[in-house]
Amino acid sequence: MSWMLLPVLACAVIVLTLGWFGLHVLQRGVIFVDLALAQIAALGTTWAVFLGHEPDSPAAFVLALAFTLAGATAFAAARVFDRQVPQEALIGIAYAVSAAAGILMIHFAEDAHGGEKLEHLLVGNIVWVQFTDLALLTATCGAVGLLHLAFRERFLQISFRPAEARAEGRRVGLWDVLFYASFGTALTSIVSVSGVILVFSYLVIPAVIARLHVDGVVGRLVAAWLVGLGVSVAGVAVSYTHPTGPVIVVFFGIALLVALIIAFLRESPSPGRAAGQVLLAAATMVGGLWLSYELPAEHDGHGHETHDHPAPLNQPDPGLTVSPTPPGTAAAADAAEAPSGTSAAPEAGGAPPGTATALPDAAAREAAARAATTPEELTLLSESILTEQDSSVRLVMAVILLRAGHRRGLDALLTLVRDDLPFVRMEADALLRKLAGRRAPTWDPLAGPDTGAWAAWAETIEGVPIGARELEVP
Amino acid sequence: MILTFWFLFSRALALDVVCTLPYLADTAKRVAPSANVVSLARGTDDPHFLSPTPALMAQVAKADLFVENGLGLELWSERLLDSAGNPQVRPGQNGYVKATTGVPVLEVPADVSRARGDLHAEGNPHVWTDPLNMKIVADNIATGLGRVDPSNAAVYTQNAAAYKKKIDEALFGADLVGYMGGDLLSRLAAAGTLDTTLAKKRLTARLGGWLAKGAPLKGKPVVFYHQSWPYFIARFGVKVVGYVEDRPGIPPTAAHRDQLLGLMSAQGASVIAVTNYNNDRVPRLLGEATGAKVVTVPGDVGGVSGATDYFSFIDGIIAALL
Repeated sequence: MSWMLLPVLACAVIVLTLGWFGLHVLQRGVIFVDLALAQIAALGTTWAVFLGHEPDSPAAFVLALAFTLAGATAFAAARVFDRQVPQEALIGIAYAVSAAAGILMIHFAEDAHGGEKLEHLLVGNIVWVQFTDLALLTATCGAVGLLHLAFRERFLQISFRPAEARAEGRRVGLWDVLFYASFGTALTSIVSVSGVILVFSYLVIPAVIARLHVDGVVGRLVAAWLVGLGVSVAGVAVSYTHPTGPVIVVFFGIALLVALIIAFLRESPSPGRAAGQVLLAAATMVGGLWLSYELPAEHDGHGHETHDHPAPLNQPDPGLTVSPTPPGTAAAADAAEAPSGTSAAPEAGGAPPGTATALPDAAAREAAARAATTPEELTLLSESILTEQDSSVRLVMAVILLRAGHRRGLDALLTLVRDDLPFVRMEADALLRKLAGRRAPTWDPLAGPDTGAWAAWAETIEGVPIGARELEVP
Repeated sequence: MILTFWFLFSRALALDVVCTLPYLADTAKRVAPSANVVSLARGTDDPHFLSPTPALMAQVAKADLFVENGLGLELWSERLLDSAGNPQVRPGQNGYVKATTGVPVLEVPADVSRARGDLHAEGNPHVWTDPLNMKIVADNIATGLGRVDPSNAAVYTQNAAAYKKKIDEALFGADLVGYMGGDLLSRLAAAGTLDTTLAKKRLTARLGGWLAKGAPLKGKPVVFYHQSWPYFIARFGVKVVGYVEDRPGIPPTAAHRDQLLGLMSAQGASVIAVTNYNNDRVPRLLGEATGAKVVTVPGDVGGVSGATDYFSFIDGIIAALL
């Protein structure tokens, strides 16, 4: 269970921080501000990478923070236009534009890690959190937390009762900047640990559940914290073999559903009827799930394949590619169809005309030769050896013919001692030496095989030499 | 003046060969040095995902020959071909080449489902990390060039043959290729009997090239990021301890991390190889936890600054893993 410790502690810090901010964000109606600020921070990091810094260098962190603070100031200022334009619209725009700018920046940077870097800024993985990550996270969120603890009354006033704050002559604009800036600072460190989807869930869902069931700021804060902690611990514990972030988010979804049902039952004028409605809805859902689970299971395979993988149009016939069977067996299978030296390579059906595949070709011809046993096959072999281009294949064919008592095998060996490839010359010479025994010509390492002497020796032999049947196939 | 005209004339006449990936463009340049060869993806791009831009469509629109890896790797090429409006280079036409036709494909799944991540239905498409496959690719490109430019077909065949010889010499060493011939060596290597045959014939010491340089990789325990290396692994005998990505495209779980850490310490994995376009954050954390070295390997020609052509590309992979 020790693997749970760091992720759960990180979740706890995140819950404590975002639970508080969630209440503010819901009250202000700026639900997507976290996505926008996270994207703006990512833009800052991307800018740092564009300038040549590493994404986790101090310079990148400072730039990310600077971008976030600039964004925070802009969001605070946007409250001025609240009558003409909802703040959420400007926040959405900021999200889209900074995401697009980040992609463009990566594009211009021609960076080796490109999109992956940008993606990672927004897709953390809570399971992989390290002690140093946790320390940094705690320090940042702790500092922000202390600030908010010290000025909690003021922050609550400007979020929940801005009119009252203005009436009291508070500098609402300045407090707004401070609010968004501190929020952005906490977010910058949280997002890199948990990823943006998890941040959104932690920010909004506990606060929504708390608002459904509890009155009063303190009560709601405690409720949000408890919900967040409970879901985190359950999610991390269950997720050992599953992706942790998604499990937590889905658990949050279930928690919200339960909270909604309870609230629905409580608010309803006739609880009995409401309970019936809930049961009916649940039964419908379970039935639907069961049906969707049962139906494709009957014809497994087909349904999946055709549905998930429409045959790509840019692929010629899949049969074009050789299956991953070992060359030996593939060639042996081919040998049955193509006993002679004809090409056994896969042919392009109606697609682009034949493609040269020298490799399997020769291998197939060699395998066909090795598989030749019947008299008909051997007769075919003694013909195809005359046209075989590859001398090392010819060598194999020659030995197989010799073993079967075909004189043409010996003739082939006599030409192979003159072959272009030294290896083939040597092999042919060694084979002839085995056949000739003491009658073999003397060996001159500088001159190589004595072709004249071998020809003279062969003249004295009728049919195939004794011992040809015992030759080993190379 | 005449030279200028000749230059303009020859430029106008030169074939436009558009390749999806840098390694294909590198091969096409060797087979057709006089053609205008471009690669749509850069070596630094992830070949699975490329956003087709109008500029890329314009390239395809005027292409005489379109060369792609296929096997479901370039998920973006179908859309590109649809939008480019160049009927000559559509699959099945003379101007289209699937470069991996005839390559023995590894990891062809028995059944396909999304449950195992973005598994490739036609097997693993990353064939170009095995130099032997490049000989088939070169032949396929030469055949395609010969179809769209029949008058020079013989030249393309000849250039492809020269390139294949160069690959053989780079893989086995010029000495051994001169002695045994590239065809026989390739056949033995493809059948997996090269080592035993060379040992039997007492020729092991004459093996040169990448296989000699990469000999220490045989049985060396390495962790890879993504399952894009089976062809290299098979050719050089690297021992795969595991993959950082549990299932491609799905975030690794805690169970997978612990299992990987256990495997790494049990098998003494000292290297974690990350393809240049993958994120190295998680590999670095694994490296810090186990003391293994995190190295960046190029996924294609141009993936790292040293990999300027196919030969320096393979050089770079071997050097990084050693």
